[in-house]
Amino acid sequence: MQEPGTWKEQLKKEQYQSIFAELVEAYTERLYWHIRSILLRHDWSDDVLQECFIKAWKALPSFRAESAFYTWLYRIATNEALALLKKERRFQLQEGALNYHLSADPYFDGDEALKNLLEAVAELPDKQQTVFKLKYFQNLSFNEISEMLGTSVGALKASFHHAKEKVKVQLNLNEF
Amino acid sequence: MKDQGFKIPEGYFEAKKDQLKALAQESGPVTKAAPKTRILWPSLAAAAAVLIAALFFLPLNSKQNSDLNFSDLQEQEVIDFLNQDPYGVYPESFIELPNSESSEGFENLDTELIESYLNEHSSEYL
Repeated sequence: MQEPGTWKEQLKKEQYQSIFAELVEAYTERLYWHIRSILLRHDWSDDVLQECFIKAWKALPSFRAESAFYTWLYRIATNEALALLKKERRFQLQEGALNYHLSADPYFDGDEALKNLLEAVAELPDKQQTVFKLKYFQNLSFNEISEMLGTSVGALKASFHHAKEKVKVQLNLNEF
Repeated sequence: MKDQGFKIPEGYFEAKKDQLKALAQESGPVTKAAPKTRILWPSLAAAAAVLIAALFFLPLNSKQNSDLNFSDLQEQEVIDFLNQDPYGVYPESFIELPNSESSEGFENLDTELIESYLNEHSSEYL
């Protein structure tokens, strides 16, 4: 027979499991594509997605609903993805490294134009790169990106403008 | 994004969702961790109390020890104490003095001499 305290804990655990299952159902896909838009590679995105949900599970009891749950989850995912990107960026900076990464990913079959674009984006500083990817791939508003990255809308607009100009130069484009 | 050349393995999301839910099932019970400050404040208060107690009591004790002086004792008290010979031996310097075999011999000694001797050898008795 279980002790009274154990029943309470079990009940609590089941409640959290139920909430967590709902979160997993609701956000897995959206979160995955968000991470993928930053990292581009499937295997990295898969790792970060898992890490993100593990953190969410651990932090669930202390979540106080001060912000919407998806904003909180997106922030964790963004931070995790950026941390991994930073770690891998050293290798990406080597010539052709991005091309190698995308070629090594069996879940990427973009055309030459997309590869060129991604190579140009990979040359950008971290912040500009992230803002550009979130705008280009997810079409997020500056307000949404601001909430995720904790940066002002003005600074984001400036970063995006610089990023766009650099990419245009890199791709020899007049219009973007 | 998925239409721009970024693909996923077949059935990836279904499998991933099951895997994530299973992770929560397997892990231990979720308990709300007490904020660190709640643990920190009592510890700090206890440490501060010990420190204050140490500041108050330690110097007082050392002052009490340093204030011990044989000049505060009455002459008769010193003589009685020495006559009791609590340590079982007379100091050598007394043995050489006249009448040192009897307790009355101490009465002939100069008080200052006794005091200075005892002050010099106080560590042996305290």
